[in-house]
Parts: sequence; C-alpha cells; structure tokens
Amino acid sequence: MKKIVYSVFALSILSIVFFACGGNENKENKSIGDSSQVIVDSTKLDSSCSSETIMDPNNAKPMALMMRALVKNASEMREKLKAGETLETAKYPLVRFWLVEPTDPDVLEPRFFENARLFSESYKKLSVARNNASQIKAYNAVIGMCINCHESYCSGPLKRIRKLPI
Amino acid sequence: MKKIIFSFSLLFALTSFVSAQSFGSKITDKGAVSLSEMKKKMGSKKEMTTKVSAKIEDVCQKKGCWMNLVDDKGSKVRVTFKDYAFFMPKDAAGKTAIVEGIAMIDETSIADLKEYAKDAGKTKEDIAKIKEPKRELVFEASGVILK
Repeated sequence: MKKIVYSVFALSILSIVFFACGGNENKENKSIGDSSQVIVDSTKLDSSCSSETIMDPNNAKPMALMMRALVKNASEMREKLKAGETLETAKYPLVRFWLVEPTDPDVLEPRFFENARLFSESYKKLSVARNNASQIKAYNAVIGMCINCHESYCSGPLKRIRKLPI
Repeated sequence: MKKIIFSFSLLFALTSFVSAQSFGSKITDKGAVSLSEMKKKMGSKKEMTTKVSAKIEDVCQKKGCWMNLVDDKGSKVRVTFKDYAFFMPKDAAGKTAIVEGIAMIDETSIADLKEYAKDAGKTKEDIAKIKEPKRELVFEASGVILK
C-alpha cells in the first residue's frame, strides 16, 4: 500500500513540473501568419523553469504580432545603418499590418487606413534607396510615419518607437 | 499517516512554487519592498531603480499592456512594461506582482490618460471628463513575477 501511495506521489510531482514548465510554450508563443517567426523574447529566461519568460499571455491579435515583427526589423535596420552598412532591403519586405485583425477594432477607420497608405508609400521609398545615406533618410521617414500614427492610435509603444530614429 | 500528510504538504509547496509566472527580464523576489516603502524611499527623487511587491488592482483589458498596483492604503501606481516588450494576463487582478524597474514621477498626457481610461473600460462620458495631463508616480518594469 505504501509503495502505491509513494508512486502516486512521485508521479504527481513529475506531472506538475512537466506541465508547469511545458504548458506555456503552446499558449504564449504566437506565429505571424504563415511565417515561421516565433514571437518569444529569446533573451529572457524563466526563474522557475529553464524556458523563456512570457511576452504575450492574452492571445495577441495578428496586428499586434505584426507590430512586434516591424519593431524587430526596424531595430535590425537601425543597427546596420548606424554601422554604415547598406541594407539589403529585400530582407525587410513591407508588412501589411492594416489587412489583419487589430487589438482594438475601433482603429479601423478612414484616418487609420490613410496613415497606413502613407506608411506604405514611405516604406517603398526605403525599399528602393540604394546607399546608406539615402536609406537612413528613408528609414527615418518610415519611423516618423509610425510615430505619427501611434500618436493617434495606441500610444503605448510610442516610447519604444521614439528610440528608433537615427 | 504522518508520512502521507508530509508528502501532500510537500506536493502543495511544489505546486505553489511552479505556479509563479515570469514576464520580461528574469528577476527574483529577493529584496522586494512594499509600495508604501518604495514611496518612502523615493522621497523627492524624480526616479529610482527598485523592486516592489504589491497586489494588482486592475489590468489593461485590451491586451494587458499596463496594470495598477495598490498598497494597503489604497493608493495606486500604474506599471507599464519596458519597451512594450511584454504584457500581463488580463485576469491577473487580485494576484501579487513583484516588479523590478524604475519608479518615476512623470507627466501623463491627456491622450495617454484617455487611452488608459478606455483600456480600463471607462464610459465615454468619463473619458470626456479628462481635460488635463496628470503628474504622477509611475513604474516602468523590466521584469515581473506573478504569484
């Protein structure tokens, strides 16, 4: 009888540890559309399990996930441009975030889509810029569009975006 | 019988341990002070790096991008997350949060105050009443543990 009780106890502990450490992976990590990019902050580690800490625990909407991808791309571009490199702009395709579901459906109004159109035009100028100086100019214009739109819609990330201009 | 009780106590303790969730940068709960203590330490400083443990009063219901911590006297501090890099579960109200980051006196713009009010589910009438920016104590967390 004692052996059975201890076996059940040991199994319970193993189950708890397994599910507590593994459970977050499916719940918190989100992919963007068909892309294989997983939105996990890989620089962070959990204190109780040796996995990543949580970023988006609330089933983030596709537009929010695309915004994370945009910030990641912009940060990468910024570093390269600051180092004097010329960007391979094909590596940073236009992310059409305005076509997917936003966190707040109230944003889907004419002014938002006009902002998106201006962003898109600005981004195309960056795509065709062919040297570091012209790319920096175009990159800053793109970031300006982001700031302009976020001043009207969802001001939360403004502080982060304002770190991006060169 | 004693062994069984001990075993289940241990099981309960382990369950509590693994149920803590971490967000953002990895932090520990060591050295966390209460909200009241933090305010006392802050004094007239404009900002201070610190670690606080307090109850969560409410969380942004749009996507968990801010939360209000409350102390035993009912005063609140709004916590946002560094670089908008991580959020809290929308159902975290009532839990205890350990937050590490920067406490600062900052001016919150009218636009931001309106957005926070909207996120918190305030009515249009309440939001329309916001006419002035607010100078207040806020907290930018780089890491959070939720218990």
